[in-house]
Amino acid sequence: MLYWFVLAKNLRAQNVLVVLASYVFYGWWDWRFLSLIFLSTVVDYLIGRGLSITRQKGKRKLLLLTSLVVNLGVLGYFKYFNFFIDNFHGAFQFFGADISTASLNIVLPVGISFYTFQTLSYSIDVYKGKFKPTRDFIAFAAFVSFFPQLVAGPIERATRLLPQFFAPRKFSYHQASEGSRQILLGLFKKTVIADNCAEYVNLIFNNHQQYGASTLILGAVFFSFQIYCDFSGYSDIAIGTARLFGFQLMQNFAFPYFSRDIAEFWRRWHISLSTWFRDYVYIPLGGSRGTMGTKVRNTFTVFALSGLWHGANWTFLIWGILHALFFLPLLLAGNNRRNLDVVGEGALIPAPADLLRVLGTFSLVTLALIMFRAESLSHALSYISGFFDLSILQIPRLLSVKMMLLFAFLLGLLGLEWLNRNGRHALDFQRPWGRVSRYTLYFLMSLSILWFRGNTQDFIYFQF
Amino acid sequence: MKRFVTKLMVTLIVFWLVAETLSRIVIDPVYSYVINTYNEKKGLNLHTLIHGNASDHADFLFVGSSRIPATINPDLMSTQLGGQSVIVAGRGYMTPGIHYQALKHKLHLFPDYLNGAVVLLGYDGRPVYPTPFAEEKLRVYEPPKWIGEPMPHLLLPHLSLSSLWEFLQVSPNSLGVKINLAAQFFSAAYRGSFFLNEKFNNRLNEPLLVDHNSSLVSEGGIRNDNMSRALELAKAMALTEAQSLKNSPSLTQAAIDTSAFANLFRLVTENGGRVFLYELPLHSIHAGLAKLPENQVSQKVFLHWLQQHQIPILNVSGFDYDDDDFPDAWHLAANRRDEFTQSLAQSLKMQPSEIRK
Repeated sequence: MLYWFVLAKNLRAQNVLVVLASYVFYGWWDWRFLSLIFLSTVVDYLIGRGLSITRQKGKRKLLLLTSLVVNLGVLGYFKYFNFFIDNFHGAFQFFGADISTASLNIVLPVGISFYTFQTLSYSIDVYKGKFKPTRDFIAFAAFVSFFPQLVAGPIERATRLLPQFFAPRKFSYHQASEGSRQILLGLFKKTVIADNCAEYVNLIFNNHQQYGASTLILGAVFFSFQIYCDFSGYSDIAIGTARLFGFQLMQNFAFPYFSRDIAEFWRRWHISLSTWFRDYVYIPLGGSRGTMGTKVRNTFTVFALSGLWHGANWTFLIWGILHALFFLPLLLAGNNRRNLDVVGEGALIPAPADLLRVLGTFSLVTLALIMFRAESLSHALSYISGFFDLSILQIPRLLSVKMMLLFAFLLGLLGLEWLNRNGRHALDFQRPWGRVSRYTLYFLMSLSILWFRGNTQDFIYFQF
Repeated sequence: MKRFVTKLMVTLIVFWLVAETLSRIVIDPVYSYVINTYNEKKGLNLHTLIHGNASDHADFLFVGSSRIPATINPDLMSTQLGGQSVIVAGRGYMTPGIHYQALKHKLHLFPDYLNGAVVLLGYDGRPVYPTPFAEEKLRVYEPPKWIGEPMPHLLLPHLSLSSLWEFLQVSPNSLGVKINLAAQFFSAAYRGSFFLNEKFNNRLNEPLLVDHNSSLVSEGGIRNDNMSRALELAKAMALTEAQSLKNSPSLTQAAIDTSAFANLFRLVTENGGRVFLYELPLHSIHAGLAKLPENQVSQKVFLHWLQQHQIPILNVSGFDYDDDDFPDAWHLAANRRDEFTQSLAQSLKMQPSEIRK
């Protein structure tokens, strides 16, 4: 109300309010880490200003390097210091040397991987001349700390989001309605599906030796849906909230589980991160130009870094490399740019061949996600080895009425997503639905959130 | 903006009204039947749903935690005691404050509720409800986050508008719990959500393919398919309680006089009832807590207090058990409940004749 009524005609005041709200939001978790986001903001703002003044190539490179060092340095320290120390120590021990190292008790600031990449994109785009640096510190601070997407994305580009802080914002009924719908969808995905899946995932993964193959597979499938609904649910809430304030954030998920191959999957999953790596790592490395060897090298580099971005653990790195291996045949065959359309375009039911491809891609993704969920490499391997057992033919031991209800919710969500797969999200109706049908659906989703929510779990991607 | 806000408010209000209506018609009667452990469980049918099933008198009232319904079959106990009414009002996370308030509320509605009744509490070898009454009065249990969320709905069936106000003023609970309880008091949709959520997460989560004659606990127990995890949890809780015993001063007579137990005792006896304790069957992890040196002094003082107030501790002889009879390390297995009930009934019958009607 303050934003739209009191400050409607004062853009600067609106931006100040956004900054204040964002800092309060972030500081609620731990006020000490506000200093990090402020540091990142100040450094990149000043670097932007410096780049606008300096034309000398050497000085410009130095400024960019400063931005990279500060942002990646902060990220590296908080996220990867202990990982590198432990592995460094392990490597020396392997060769028989014993060196003393100090691990630090470092708390990972929420969202650090997201906002550092966001500010880095600004510095790099300004350096490349793609974007004119801003003089407005408040607008820039608002861009860096914008609370809907601060802690778990989407990772916005300065070229997309920053100009929105300079343009007067007018309340749009259509945007606000869309935003509210998307928030409802996000809450449903997170509380009803992700949190309920999490209960089974935790039980099965933490006690995997007690369960048969069919239950282990079920656990892996549930994790696929947990992480999808958790992360895309948060993105929906972030995008929907931003729309209430008159901002457009980028689509972060485009129904990835309907992908026909891994290349398509990565065009639809965590789009803001995959495009970031494409634009700032893959293309500068040479991208798709050069020899096949170069392309393979670049592909593996991007996937490995993408894995490591998710966390300081070998399992994340292996997860990334697995995806690179899945991608490799497509790259070698030159098939990584097909399936650019939507599966089963115009059809209510997919063609059998498409369905097989979709299921095959989902299976590969699910297999790789075991690595993502496992606590260690040995845990993941032990989990996967449990698949190869005759108990794969048995009905999962944990089958209950609640689980069947959960399946029903999942099928309902998949059905909605399928029907609206040409839209931006599952409630972006592509065919006209009557008002009664729509409101009945909203009502049922709201009741489900009220009555069938799972035990509260933190958003998975908050830990990145 | 005005159009959006108006539409949003109308949508939310209509949603809430529909949810509220549905909850009051469909969920509240079932909720009332299930959640109020002080109601007589005569069987859920249309009559019960329409008229409710509040009992106006208890002959035998079992009060305590979830161990109580795990050990007592009320129908069998009633049969053993010549058809007298038996209410099993134990449930997980029921604090002494909630039991006190529940009885007080019952006595307000039915002044003769405890006249001639015997109120039985489970005894685990340690003083029962020893914490100061002032701290416990109207307190809702707020467990550590790693165990779960507070359950203020357990107090809900026993509140009227005036006692709700008292709760908001007097209770040592956090502001969040108070707001939560007030919201549950006034909104059927809100309180129904917790009820349905609990059923969804517990009852509907019981495995369909598990043998129903298995020894998993029947009611109120911690559902667990993994014994090692259950043992881990039991040990962790026992260590926490042992630490608490070490850090607490030994009980004195004066402290017991102002304890939640003593106030419960006075409430019962001033309204024509008697209080008995009965020995609970325990897993060795929990039985070990009673044997701790830190417990011995308090235990002696408590036993002396019981003697002074003529509160017997019923020993359930003839019921042998071991750790295997506790599938979750906490609660007696479902297939031993009837046997324990019969043994306790025999002990009760051996009590002086003024309780045998």
